[in-house]
Amino acid sequence: MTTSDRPVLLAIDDEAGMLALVERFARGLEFDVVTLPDGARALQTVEQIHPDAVLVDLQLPGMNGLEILRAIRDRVPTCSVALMTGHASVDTAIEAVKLGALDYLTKPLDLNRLRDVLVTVRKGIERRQTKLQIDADVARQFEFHGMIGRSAVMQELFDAIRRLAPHVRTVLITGETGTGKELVARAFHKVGPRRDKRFVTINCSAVVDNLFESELFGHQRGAFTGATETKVGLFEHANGGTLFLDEIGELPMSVQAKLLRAVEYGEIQRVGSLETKRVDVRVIGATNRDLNAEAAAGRFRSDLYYRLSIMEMALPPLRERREDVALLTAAFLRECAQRMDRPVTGVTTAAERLLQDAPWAGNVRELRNVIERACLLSDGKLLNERDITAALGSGRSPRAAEQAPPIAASSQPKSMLLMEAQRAEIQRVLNLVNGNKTAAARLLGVSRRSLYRWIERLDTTGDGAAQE
Amino acid sequence: MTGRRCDWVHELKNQIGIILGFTEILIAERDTADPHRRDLMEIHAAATRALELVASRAPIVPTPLE
Repeated sequence: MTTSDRPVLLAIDDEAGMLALVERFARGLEFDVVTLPDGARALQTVEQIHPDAVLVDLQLPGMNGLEILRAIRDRVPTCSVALMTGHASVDTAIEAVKLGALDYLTKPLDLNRLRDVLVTVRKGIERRQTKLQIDADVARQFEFHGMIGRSAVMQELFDAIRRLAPHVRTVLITGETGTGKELVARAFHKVGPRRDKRFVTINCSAVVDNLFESELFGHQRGAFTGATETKVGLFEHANGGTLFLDEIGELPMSVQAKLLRAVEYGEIQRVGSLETKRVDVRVIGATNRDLNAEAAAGRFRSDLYYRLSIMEMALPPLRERREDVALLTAAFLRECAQRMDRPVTGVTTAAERLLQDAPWAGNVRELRNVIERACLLSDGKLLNERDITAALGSGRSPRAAEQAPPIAASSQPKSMLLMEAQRAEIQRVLNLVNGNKTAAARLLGVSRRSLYRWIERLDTTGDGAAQE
Repeated sequence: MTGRRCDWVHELKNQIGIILGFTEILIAERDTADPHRRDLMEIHAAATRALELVASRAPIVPTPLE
């Protein structure tokens, strides 16, 4: 329909001359104009046209202007509406105001008043667009290696990274899922003296237990069944640079002891080798668990915990820094609109309030996903509360969104077979129930949470035929 | 005043309104030196008088809506 940046006016009147007049006038004010003779057709097309303003005649064949106004408001809540009528009455005027009509114009049309209405509409859009632009520019100023935060907590965090990155050898980053732990790790790498060296990442929750040691430290040819080649571990690979252990709380106890040695003395041994190698690697761990409690409960080595937590960075959840939501929204929206080539240039006041107040259990990552989905769903220039509600509602579990591809485990045919079997069975059940994870979990006799964890570990798409 | 006559007056006012509206747009687009401007002013004045005439012949009665 209309793809330009110009605001769109939909005019509805059964008098062709009237429509011609409105169109001629509004085009002069740089509106795109769509004219229609009745309400039924208007309601059919309103969601495609996505008008910024609607001018509707009160007396129309079929639905009257007030009914049309109400129906359009339901479909496109952001759109401004004005009524025009040859028979002005107090009752309809009051009703129109109650329904949120911007103005109530009597015929013959006072073009100056129509101009006022259109200028108000235009200014409203421009105000929201300007706000987004300003927020996005501010966000850029407050960006630090891909993280955005004007809040005091984030500013302190950025300062700490700047100050400490040149010196620290180990860092423990804690924070809920989606708070940006990996970005902090990357920032440490980028700011520190090793920025030109490798930054190597391993997601500990995605590695099969008995492969950890070989993944981290490498193995000699023939060290175990299937070890047909000598393999360099991640520590050697990251030598001189940084090794980032995501979800470090998932590390098996047996590997923790060896990790401690690598961290403390820079000494590693390949599996099946007696030779000790020296490596110089900065180790950054991240977890959303309370490692102190894990250590107290005996599930995590306390000596490793104390070594790592010498420098502990705690990332605040988004709900504790809500003042950053607007900036993050602006930055994500600008980026998404550009990347997906969408005309979206702002959010409405109501949508902004929704975003501001959402619980954000999945934190910044969730906000980003919501904005991206809303951008895809929206046809208008401004994201409205309906776009946001729809995007919030269709959000997948943050754990599923977190999926990381598991490390290839080709050297271990036995466990691969087991994994394959698990994967196949989960996929079969998911297909059986059309991807409904609650039903799948029931059939498999596990909790929904465990199912999600399995899906994540086994890299099953979890989609089945359809999303739940 | 019968309903039909009321409709007729309403229709007439609408049509005159359209003439007025277009003339206003055309006048606004012309500067004072434009020779057509004066003609347009005449059209506008006549249409305004016509509207007044219709209004004066149609006594104001509360018109029930729908």
